[in-house]
Formats: sequence, structure tokens, C-alpha cells
Amino acid sequence: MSYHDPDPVIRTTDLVKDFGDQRALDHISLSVPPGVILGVIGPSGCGKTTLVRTLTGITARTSGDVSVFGRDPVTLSSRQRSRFGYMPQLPVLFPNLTVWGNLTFMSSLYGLPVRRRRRRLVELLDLVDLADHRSKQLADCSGGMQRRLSLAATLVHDPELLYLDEPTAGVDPILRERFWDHFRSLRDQGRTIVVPTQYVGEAVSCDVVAVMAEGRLITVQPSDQLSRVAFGGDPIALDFENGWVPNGVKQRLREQPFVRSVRSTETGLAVVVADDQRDVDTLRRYLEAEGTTFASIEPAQPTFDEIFVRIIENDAASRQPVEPTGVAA
Amino acid sequence: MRPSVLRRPLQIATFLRKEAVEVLRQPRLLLTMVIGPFLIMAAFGLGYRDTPERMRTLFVAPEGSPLLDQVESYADEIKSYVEFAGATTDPAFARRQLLDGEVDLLVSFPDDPLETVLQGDRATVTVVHTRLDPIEQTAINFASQLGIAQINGQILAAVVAGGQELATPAEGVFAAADVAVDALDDAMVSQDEEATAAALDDLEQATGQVSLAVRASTALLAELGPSDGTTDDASDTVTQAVDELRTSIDEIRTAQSSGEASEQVTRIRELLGTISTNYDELTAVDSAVLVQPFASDVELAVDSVEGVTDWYAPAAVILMLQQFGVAFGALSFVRERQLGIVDVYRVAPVHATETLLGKYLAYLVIGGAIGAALMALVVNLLGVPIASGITDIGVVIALTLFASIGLGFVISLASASDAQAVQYTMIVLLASLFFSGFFLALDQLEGPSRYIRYLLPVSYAMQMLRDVMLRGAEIDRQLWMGLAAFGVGAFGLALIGARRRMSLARE
Repeated sequence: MSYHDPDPVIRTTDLVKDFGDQRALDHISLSVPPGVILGVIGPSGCGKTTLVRTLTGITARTSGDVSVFGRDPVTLSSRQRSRFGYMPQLPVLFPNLTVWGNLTFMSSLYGLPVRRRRRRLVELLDLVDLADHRSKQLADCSGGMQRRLSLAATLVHDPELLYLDEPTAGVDPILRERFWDHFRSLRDQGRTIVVPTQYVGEAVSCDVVAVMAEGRLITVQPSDQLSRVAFGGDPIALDFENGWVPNGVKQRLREQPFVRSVRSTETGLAVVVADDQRDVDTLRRYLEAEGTTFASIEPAQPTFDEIFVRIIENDAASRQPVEPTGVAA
Repeated sequence: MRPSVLRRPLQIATFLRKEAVEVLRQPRLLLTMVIGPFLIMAAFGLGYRDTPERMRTLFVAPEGSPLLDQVESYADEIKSYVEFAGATTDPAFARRQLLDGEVDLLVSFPDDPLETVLQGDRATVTVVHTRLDPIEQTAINFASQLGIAQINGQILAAVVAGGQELATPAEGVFAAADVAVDALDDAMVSQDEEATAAALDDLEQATGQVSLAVRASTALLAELGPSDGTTDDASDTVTQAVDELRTSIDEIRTAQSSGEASEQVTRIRELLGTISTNYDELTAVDSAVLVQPFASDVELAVDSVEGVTDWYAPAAVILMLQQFGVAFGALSFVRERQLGIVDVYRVAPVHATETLLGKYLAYLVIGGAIGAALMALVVNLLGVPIASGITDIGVVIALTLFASIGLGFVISLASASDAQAVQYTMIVLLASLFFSGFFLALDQLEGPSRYIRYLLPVSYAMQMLRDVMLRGAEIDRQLWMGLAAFGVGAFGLALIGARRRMSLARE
């Protein structure tokens, strides 16, 4: 499964990574165009971090191809490596240095000119809300502060491509929103950002979302299409008084050509159609025509948690061995 | 943002700064590294005794042994090593005393030394102790050998003194010779050929006895004299006089006139007088001196070195600097790997060379400052001399740090965890104490163990610093080249290791 673009920043083809007998990445094919935020979501241990580390070149692939800026990341020159930034999953700065000292270290690591770096560092400290803590030793900073500093350190050389492994973990919701604003701003400047995250809700902030499970890439979709993929169309919430669904309605709806699937919910039924805007009226007219009384009918807004769970369940179901005497759902 | 054209120097400088700040943020650690060794050396210098411990010694001899009465005087002879704790004839009691810690040594004389000696064997004196420390054991062995030599000398001196007393009647020999000369003179005046011949025979016999006595004494003097065989004046005079005496007697036998014979008689009287006078000088030597003619008086050619602190202080400074370099180097990469920062290095445009150089420089600067502070303390407060220039000392310290930091980096890159790195560092320290010459002289090692020293920077540096500081010698060329080669080798290995650690696609 891939997100196609003619001139991608990142491209992987049948990427496989094994750690001994354990397959961490299972034939990942992915293409990331410039100027997008790619969210990588999936349960813990699904291979998100391994994917990012393989894209940086830190982790060697077992087979398949990887190219970043058109080259194998392992063979990128120093200058080309300066084009991307990597924020590891855990804070990795120096506890005995101050906030400012850590940022200075990172800016020197990327060879930033001494004269111009000060302004840049001040901007970054403002962004991560650490301007008042610049003299504080990192060991005295909270986990969230260390995370924020780690993000600032990754941005210090203003890279074109950012790998941010769970950048908002341990960050409060207000600051998290600020981070995403900044990521979107960077995206608008043409930067490409790859963000593995466990916060499924953050997928809404991404342009493209890659869903992973057990080392496999289940799907890569624009975030606004993810729901359609998860449910096989657009879900419409059809609620009844007290959640009671009249007899036969569910079965009759399944037989309608504009209905893709029907399932029960706590308040009634979720009816999946091809296009919720168009088909919600069709559905309403059908119910009124057959005299079915309902409390409300409107396009559903499933949360990304629900979408994610649905995608994972669909994937698991599709991988179940088919029983010879199986019964259709 | 476009990187600076001075990116590499910037990167070296940032590693230097980072390492320096990390160390300097631990002022107590730094203080400990300077004050600690200084206090240890000061305490050691104040507490160390440079005289051997006198061991409480109990002598054991069989019942009725004449040695029982003499042991106290024997003990007095070796009182530098031994404190006389009594004599007993009960070996079991003596052993109990030893095991109870009441005495330190048992000296047991054999049951019948006379019989053993008469059989042509040496009688063995057994020394028993409870000391487990090999150095103490060596000292006891050495002291017991000295003690036995003293006792043997005492016995021999008694024998020689007896011999001298017996030899003293040499005066009788001289008297007999004088009588024979008088008789010769009378016989020659009376022209009695038979009496002359008899007097000459008597004189020849007396001359033989004198010659025998003289040869015995001059043989000893010849051993003590110069290696070219010359002896002292008295010995030469006596030997020549005896030879001349024989010649004069022969000339009287072949003299053609009474005048010639009379001259020889006069000459013989003079010679006998000379021999008698100088012979007294030869036999007047104390018997104790005769049997043990040499005593030792050890002097150090280097005037400035006075105490044990002077000897150990340079070594301690060097050992401290080595451990500073090894420990900080060893923890450096391991700590960063555990922090995870190495992943950032891998993807950043930084090379192992810049990383390593920055760290080297940081530790060199800090280690150099620690070394300078330590040297200032030991020189100014402990009075350890500096016999050479400061530059030489600086060179030794710099080389030591260079090699030690490299060794530390090699350890760091070979270690999987900080605990492992610390263990390796401790092993280096332990090896340094045993194999570098810190406590044990390197000559005491043999076989492959001798070569372990070459794996330790402290071995080279300790000798260099002692030579430079205490002897005022120039830095030994082989040693500094060896240490520099060690440092370059360690740098090379560290660079290879750092490149591997910082390379991509290693997982």
C-alpha cells in the first residue's frame, strides 16, 4: 500500500527489517511527498519507531529499498544529512548542561554560525515555552520540559525533513496544540514531517496517516479519508427512541443498493453509505417511505480512536483463516 | 540554516566545551581528585617508618646447649631486626607463644650443631614466623640470613682470636732469630766454620717460621688490597724483608771475605728489626674485623631526595592522572550511548574524529589542570623536590593524559554498560599497582608478567617523572617515544571504535 507521488522525499519499497526471528517491518512500501505531515499511528510495538530509525539510516534494513532525498539514507553525505532532523522517542540531551547549553551544543553539532545562532535559539525557546528556563540544568527539568527541549534541539538547524518520534508525549494539551500549529506552519513552508504517535487523535492534524500493525502498513490515506477506509464508506448515525430498533429495519437496510453495511450501536444503527452528504437524504426518504420512526439521522463523526480501532479490527478480520463452513456476518 | 565554514572546529570546540562543563559541574569530584591524593600522600609520608619492624624473637635451644648462654649476645648483634624476647628449651611452649602472637619469630638452634659441623655439614638454624605477607616473608628471610651471617662471624671471630693468641709467641721466633744472628756473629769473629754453618741453619729455620707467619697475615691483606695485587706498606715491607733475609743468608754462605759476611750480618739484624716492627702491625688487627672485614654504609647519590614521600609522590600523581584519563574516557561514550545521544550523532553531520578530538582536548585541559594543582601541592606542601625544568614535567603529564584518555576511550567503546566500563577501569588500576613499578620493583617480575607494564601508561610515565623530578635527568627517549606510541595507538583504536559506534545501519 502506498501514497503515490512523482517526486517523493521518502520512498520505501518492500522494506523489511528483522531482529533475529522477529519481523519488525513487513514489506513496507511508502512514498511521502514534500510538504506534508505524515502521521504514523499504530499500537505500541507495531514498528513505528523502527520505521523511522530505518528511514534515518540508524537501523539497517534486512531487505527492500529506502530512499530519502533520492538516496539511500545510509549513504547520505554530511551536507545531505543536515537536511533532516531526528527527534528520538526518549529525551536524549545532557543532564549536566543547561537548557541553553544543550541547544548551543546541538547548534554547534550542525555547524551553525555562532553569530546567527543566538536569535534562532531564542525563537526556539519561545516556541517550546522554555525561555524562562534557559539557565536551568536539564537534570532539574521535568519530563515534559525535556521533551520540549528535545524538539527545539531537533529544529535548531531548520531541516527540510523532520522525523519526530512521538513529539508530544508528556506535553500538556495547550502546548501540544502549539506544537501542531508550528508543525503545520513548517509544513506550509514546504517542510516534510514524519510523526509516529500513539495519540490517534493527532491524526487529524496530519495530512496523511499511515496505520501500522505488527510491522505491516495497513493503510496510508489522507486523514480526511481515513474514516471512509475504516468503515468502508461514510457512516450515518441513525438513532431511535431509547435505542430500540424496530424489527426488520436492519435487514431491510442491508438490502438497499445505496447502503454498504449496517451495524448496531448503543443508540440505534450505523449505516455506511458511499457518500454521507448525498445519501443521508436518500436514507431519510427510504425510512419515511416505509414508515419507520426514528429519533435522528445525520452523518456520523467517528473519533479517530474509533476509526483506528475499526481499521485494526478490519485488518485482523481479513487475516483470519477462512472457515470452510463460515457464516457471513 | 547554512552551516558555518568553520563547522569542524566548531564541532570540536563544542565537544570540548560540553565535556569540560560536565566535569566542571562536579566541583566536589574535582576537589577530591586533587585533595584526595595529596592527603593520602601526606598521611603516608607522616606515618611511614623507614626502619624495619623489630621482631620479638624467642630463641629455642636444646637443654644443656652452650648456645643458650650466648643467644642474648647473638640477638644483640642483630638488634636492628630483632627484639630479644627470651630463650627457652621447650619447643612446644615457644610455638604456642608464636601462635598466640606473644612473639613474632622463633629461632630454633639444632640439637647437636657440633656433630653436624664435624661431619662436614652446616648446622641449620630454623626461623619460624606467622607472617603471610610475601614482602614481610622476604624481609624475614633476608634478616635471618643476615642474622646467621652475624652469628657465624661471631663464632669465627672467637676462633680467630684464639688463633691470634696462639700466634702471639711469634716474639719467640724473633728472639730465636736474634740468638741465631748473635751466634753467627760470634762464630764469624772466631772464624769457627762449623759454628757459623750451625748458626746459619738456625737462622734459616727461624726465617722460615717468620715467613710462614707473615704469609698468613699478608694473604688476608692481599684480599682487601687493590685488584692489581699490590698490598699496603707494612705488608710489602715485611714480605720484601723476608725475601732479603733469605738472600743475605745465602750471601753469607757464599761470601769470599769476612768483611762481606760481616756486612750481611749487620743487614740481617736490620731486616729482622724491620720484620718484627711491621709484623706487630699486621697481627694487631681485631679478630672480629679479620673475619668480617667489610661493613656497609649506603649513601644516595641524589642529595635532594630525602623521604619515602619523595619517591612515591611522582608515582601517585601519575597514577592519579592515568586513572582520571581512563575513568573519564571509559565513561564518556558509554554514558552517551546510554543517554541515547549517539543516535543523534549518527544522523548529524559530525564525524568521529571531531567528537574524539573535542573530548581529548577537554580531558587534556582538565587533567592538565589537575596535574598542575597536584604537583603544586606535593612540591610546596610536601617538599617533594623538582630537580629538572617544569617543561619536562609538563611533557610527561601531557603524554600520560594523552595515552590514558585513549585507553579510557578504547575501554568505553568496548564496554556495553557503564558498570562494565567501571570494572575495566578498576582492573587497569589494579594492574597498575602490581605491574607498573609503583610498589614492586619491575626487576622482581619475570616471564610474560614483565611485559604487562607496556600496556599501562603509568609504567612509562612513572619512571619518566621520577627521573625528571628526583634525579634531574632528561626525559628518557625510549620511554617518551613508547608512551607517545601507546597514545597514538590508543587514539587509532578509539577512532576506529568511535567510527563504528557512530556509523549508520549498525542495528
